[in-house]
Amino acid sequence: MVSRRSWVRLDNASNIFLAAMSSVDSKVFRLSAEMVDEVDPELLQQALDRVFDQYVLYHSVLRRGIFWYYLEESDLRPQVEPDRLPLCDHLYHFDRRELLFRVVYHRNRIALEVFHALSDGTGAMQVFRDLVAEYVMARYPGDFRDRPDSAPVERGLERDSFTRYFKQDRTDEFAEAARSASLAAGSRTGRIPDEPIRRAPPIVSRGRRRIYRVRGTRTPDHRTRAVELDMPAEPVLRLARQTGVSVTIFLTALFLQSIREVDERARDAIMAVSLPVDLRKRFPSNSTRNFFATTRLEYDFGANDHALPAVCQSLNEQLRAQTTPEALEAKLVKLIGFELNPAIRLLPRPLKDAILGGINRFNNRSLSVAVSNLGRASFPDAVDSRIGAVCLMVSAARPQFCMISHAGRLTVTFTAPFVELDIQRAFVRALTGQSVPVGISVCRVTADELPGKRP
Amino acid sequence: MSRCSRCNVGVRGDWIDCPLCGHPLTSAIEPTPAPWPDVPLRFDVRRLMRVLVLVSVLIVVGALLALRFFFPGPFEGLRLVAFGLAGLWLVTLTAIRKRRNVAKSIVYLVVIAALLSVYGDYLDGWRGWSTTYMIPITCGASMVALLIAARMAHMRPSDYIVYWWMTILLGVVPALFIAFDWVTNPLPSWISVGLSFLMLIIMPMFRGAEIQHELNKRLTV
Repeated sequence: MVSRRSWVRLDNASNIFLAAMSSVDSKVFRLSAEMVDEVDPELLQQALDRVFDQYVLYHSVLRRGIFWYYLEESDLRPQVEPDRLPLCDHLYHFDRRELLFRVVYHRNRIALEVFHALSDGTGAMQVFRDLVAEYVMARYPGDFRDRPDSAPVERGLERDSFTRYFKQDRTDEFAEAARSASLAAGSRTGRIPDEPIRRAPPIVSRGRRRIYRVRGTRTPDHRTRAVELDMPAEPVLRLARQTGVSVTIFLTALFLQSIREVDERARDAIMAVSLPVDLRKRFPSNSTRNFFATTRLEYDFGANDHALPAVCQSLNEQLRAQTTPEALEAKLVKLIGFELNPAIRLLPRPLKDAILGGINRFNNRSLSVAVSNLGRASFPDAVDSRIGAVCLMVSAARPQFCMISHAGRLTVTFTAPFVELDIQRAFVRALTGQSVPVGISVCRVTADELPGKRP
Repeated sequence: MSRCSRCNVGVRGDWIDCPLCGHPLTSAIEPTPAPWPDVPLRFDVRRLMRVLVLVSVLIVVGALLALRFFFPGPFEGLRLVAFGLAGLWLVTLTAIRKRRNVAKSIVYLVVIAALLSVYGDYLDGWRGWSTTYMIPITCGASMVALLIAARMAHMRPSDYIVYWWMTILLGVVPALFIAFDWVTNPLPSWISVGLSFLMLIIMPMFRGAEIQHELNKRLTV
């Protein structure tokens, strides 16, 4: 008899990605890393096979129940493929049983694309780090000759692969890996017991004011337009320090200013930006599931100083207020309350989808752009020197950028559902104007740009 | 890397003009390749399908209702042909839409065929052929069809067991037709009900735990 497959219901935090998924926004994000040499697909496949065995969560396929979506362990195996789909292309298709991630390569790049309902950026980074490390060790065995064979475990590539491999009950293992991260964190900190949901005090009242939204021409086949900016991290860090804020806040402020510069409508508008914060930093967790809270920062250009330092200071204060331990704890309690709310649990899945979709549309209306920072990518020391710039990008319903740094290189990748590149141009010129050397890569999205169709 | 003198930026890939501002690039001796391949535009089949399905369903439902309200009359000739075509189209659509899950498509088809036949019977003046022949035979056949499909498509038990269970439940429905005396000939209904009970006895013997597992999964609150 075929063994029964383990399954875990999808938490609400992840459900929202399914509700928000559309033909424009696939809710897929991509992590990629540049190697020194051309990628060897066979070795990459071997590396993927080894890493895949260690992450049971990534064996999941997404299925639909009456009340919930659920993740079910599958026996599908991933296959590395040349990069030939549009960036961040859909990974989940209705009624199709397929893995929720893909590994592709192009020239000297390795990329991991993940459906956001499965994992968040930090979670996926763990997998990506192990994948790239395994690949580098297989590709350059000479570098590791003086090390013992059992090296991967010693190099901290896998914390407890022994227990993972030899645990008798695979069902428990999958259930543990696929468990909602916020519920797990809640049970550890002992905050689940029917505590009334405390609401985080609103930092900025939303009111009924109109929030500026970027408009543009949709790409012809709804693919994501990506613009990757590659620059040395040091000068940007220096500029941010001069303003007295973090690089994230500095670049976010620059983003808002760039929009204001290119769009007449934005001159005196209120702009709002969503910025996710990783909850693992406050509530230690090894979970690779979604475990983040979003902060929302806004700036009223009509009522305040337009200068960059003023925008930076305001955003910085808002972010600090929303990420105090108390504020984050309140966010976690809210997330848990959302998971356990009996009224939500009893709603049939299609209704949940409709309601979450409505919430998402409402949220979209009160956001201009989004920003996401994964910080500094770190790889095991032994392999680090073989890895160049690392890049993060995410499919987008509105213009947004993701940033990540490695080996002294900072990559800022803009994604948008629109063809226009005015905002990105203003952003790049603002940086190069302050003598930051920037290199850009733009993906082609229109018939005019794509080869063969050029006049 | 090529350079744009206006944006003061290096540009990767084989762009001739700056992608940001359109200014001609000064090309480098050795251009840096783009980090992604150029992916040709594609035609979105899914959107077309969605529109086609929606339009088809509207036309079919419209045609079926028109048979009752705008062209009433004896259920024969052109009317019968129109009904048959509308029904056939609906069945084809369902089969296409649910093609990724054969077991599910069988359950959908049984329900659609049953509803269509009841409506046809109603147009025909309630002669009872739907409850006597159509529904019991469809239900009975679906149980067997599902098992054959499962075997031929090498489906895993967990993938079809819930649907098999549903066809068995549907197979018991004709018992109601006998109870309410909606049949002119009870034999097809008896066969369907008998087959259901036979399956009900056989299934738990082989697959009891799996059915439980699947139901838990799908009904988790």
